[in-house]
Amino acid sequence: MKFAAKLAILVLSIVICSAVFISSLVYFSNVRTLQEQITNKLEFRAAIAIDIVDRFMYEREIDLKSFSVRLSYVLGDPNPDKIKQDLINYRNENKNYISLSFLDLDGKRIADTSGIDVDQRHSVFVNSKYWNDTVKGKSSSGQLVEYSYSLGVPVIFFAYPVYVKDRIVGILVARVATSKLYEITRLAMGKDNNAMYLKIDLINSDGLLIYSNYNRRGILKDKSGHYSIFGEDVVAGRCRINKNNFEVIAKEKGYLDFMGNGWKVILAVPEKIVFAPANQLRNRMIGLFIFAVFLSLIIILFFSHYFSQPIIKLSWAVAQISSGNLNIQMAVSSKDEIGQLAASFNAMVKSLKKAREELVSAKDYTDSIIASMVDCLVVISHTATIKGVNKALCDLLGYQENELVGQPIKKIFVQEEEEEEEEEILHKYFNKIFDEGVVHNIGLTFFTKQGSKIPINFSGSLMRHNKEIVGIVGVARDMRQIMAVIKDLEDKRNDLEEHDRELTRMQMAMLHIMNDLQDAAHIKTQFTGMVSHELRTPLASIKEGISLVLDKITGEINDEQVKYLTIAKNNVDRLDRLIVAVLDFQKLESGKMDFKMESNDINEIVKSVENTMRPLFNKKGLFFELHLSNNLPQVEFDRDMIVEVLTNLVNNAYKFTDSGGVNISTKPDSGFIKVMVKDTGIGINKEDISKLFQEFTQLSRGKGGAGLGLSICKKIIEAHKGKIWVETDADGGTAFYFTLPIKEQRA
Amino acid sequence: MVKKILIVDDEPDIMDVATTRLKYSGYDVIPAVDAEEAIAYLEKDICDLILLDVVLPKMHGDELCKMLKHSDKYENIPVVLFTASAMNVANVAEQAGADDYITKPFDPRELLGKIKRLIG
Repeated sequence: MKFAAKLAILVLSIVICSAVFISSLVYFSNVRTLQEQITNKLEFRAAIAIDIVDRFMYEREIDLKSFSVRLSYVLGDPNPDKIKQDLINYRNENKNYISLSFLDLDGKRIADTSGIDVDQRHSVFVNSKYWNDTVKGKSSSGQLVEYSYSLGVPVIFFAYPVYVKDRIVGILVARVATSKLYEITRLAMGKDNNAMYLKIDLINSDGLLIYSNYNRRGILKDKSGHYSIFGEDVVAGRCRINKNNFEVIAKEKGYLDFMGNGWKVILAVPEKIVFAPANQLRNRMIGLFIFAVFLSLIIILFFSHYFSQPIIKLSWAVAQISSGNLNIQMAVSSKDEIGQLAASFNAMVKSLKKAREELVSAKDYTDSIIASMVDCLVVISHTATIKGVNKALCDLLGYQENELVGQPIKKIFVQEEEEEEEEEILHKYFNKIFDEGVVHNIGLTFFTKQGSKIPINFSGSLMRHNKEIVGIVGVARDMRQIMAVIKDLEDKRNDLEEHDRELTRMQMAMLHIMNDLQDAAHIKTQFTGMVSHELRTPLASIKEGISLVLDKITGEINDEQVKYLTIAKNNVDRLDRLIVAVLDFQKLESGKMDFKMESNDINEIVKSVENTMRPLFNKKGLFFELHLSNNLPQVEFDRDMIVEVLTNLVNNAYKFTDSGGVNISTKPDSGFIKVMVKDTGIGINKEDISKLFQEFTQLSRGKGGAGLGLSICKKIIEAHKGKIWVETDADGGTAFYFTLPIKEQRA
Repeated sequence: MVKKILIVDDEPDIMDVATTRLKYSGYDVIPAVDAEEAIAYLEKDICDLILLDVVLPKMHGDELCKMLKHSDKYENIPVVLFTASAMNVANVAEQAGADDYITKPFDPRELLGKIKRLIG
């Protein structure tokens, strides 16, 4: 069902339900109100009506009483004509009466206003109880209601005895048409609209109709139709509803001397009359409702169209989206939920579009990757058929893509012919993929369209979609080139292995040699140590023996003895220094020298060497100059070692300088301390400079010595991460320099 | 009172010249050719200083020195190591707990200076 129809039904239901509810409420409350109103009104009017009747009856009694004393008969003239004239006069005075008669005590009419039945006996009246009561002087008005044949209408008889000197001489009879009662009761009904519909019954104590405004034929013949429902026990004055009529009965109560005849007034109104206004209102409301329904239908049609239009648009747009068209936008500008929905919808479409574009571009991207792949790609279904291939595979095997898709894998995969269980091996691999999820680098063979075989390296893994295994994705690489390379490599490897064996043999030989060399070095060290110890021990005895003699502990000796013993002693010292130098050099070279690295002041070292050496220089007549920088930092070095270096250099200067002297300077030099020992000696030949720091080298200027001094200096300075070098002028002495690194100050 | 110096050296010539030098300088000298003899002497008599050769048969001089310096009885006797070896003598002396050392061949003035500094 359409939205508009649903909306229409909904609104219509609301309208109709509320209409029915409201109208029912109004109708029933209206009915109840009317019921109450009419009940009250009827009860009230019935009471008034019967009261009026009582008064009327009483008044008639008084009328007749007063009239009876005015009769000419009573005044002494019993002439019937005179009496007739009196009666006519009276009737003319009092319009209530139809006719008046005067009867003697036998019931014979003496006079009558109409002159009817004069001198005849009034048989109807005379035979009634009323007559007997009246003759006895104890009458009550209206005891007799009879149809008057002479008058042609039902009448109520009023009789009163006429007294002459306290004796009843005749009976005055007056007749009132029962319709008169209707007229008077009618007064009680007021000018109500409903009054015309009122059914009024006046009944006697037996229920016989005295008057009925709706059943005139039944007067004095029928009992009131309404009376039966009240019965005798009815409580007068209570309104009841019977046979679609509102009915009320009121009993005569009498008035002053009039005791009443037990008459009753019955008022009845048909329900449909009473409820006519309510029904009329109901009908009007029904009309209004029909109009309202019609109006709401129009409004609904308009609004449902108005409301459903965006929804129809939306559903159209959704249909468009489901058919793949994302280039739509909802043009709904309202700010209600529909508008919000449209805005959300537009945002959704936008993000859908974006997502689709991303998907499409991602797909294009992956498609182009697959198409551009150098390796072959094959997608295999779980039923071992080819589901997809890429361009590389088609190119390699010479197929078109549509020639392969849907074909069994045997079309492109083979195993070596010598393998009898080729298919089983293929299946074994694929089963392995299904079991383990992946296989790497297995060797398989492709069949080309031309029937040749291509060895491939195959890796595959399970492809899942929503956790369902949908097949295998495999990547294959043409191994022909690689196989060739491998073969080449294998050849080369064989060559290499041969070389390797050769090398191993050589290595073994080398190792032997190295072991021999290490042994030799070890022996050398031990040898040097042993030699020095064994040499120095006898030297000690020799030196001390000579010293004891020279020190004259063993007795006096002559000058010549002193001279030669001194020569011997000096040469012992020289020999010892030589041994120590050899030992030092050996230690420095083998790296076994322990350096005591401490923070030292280089200037202090220089001064200490000066103290030792200056006397020698002075003795030879040489100067000894110092140019020490004051801004030198402390430097870390082995004091004894640097003393040895300086002593060595100063000693050299001393040896090769005959005039002039030595100049020692210290200064900072970009992260180093530079020390210079410059002499004014014989200098060094340029060709000798390169050999200067080599061990066991004696230069052309030679002055003896083992040729180890400068080598030791070089090794000591290098062990301190410094440099040592020499500069010379061919005619102007030699300058030795060495540097020591300044240890960086810690931040 | 004459100071007693115990010289421990297996070289008779060194023992001879050193004894002569020290006696001439006014010291009493007790010779011992190895650690065993030195210990035997020390167990029965005392000395003021020990001049101890390093390279000795059986027990080396530095070992003996270490032993003496670890005993309550002898730790206060000054020990001067006396060796012809030039290899790391200072280190050996320090590790053995010796009070000083002197290398052979020795300068008599240096030897006497060191002894005088230790025992006067």
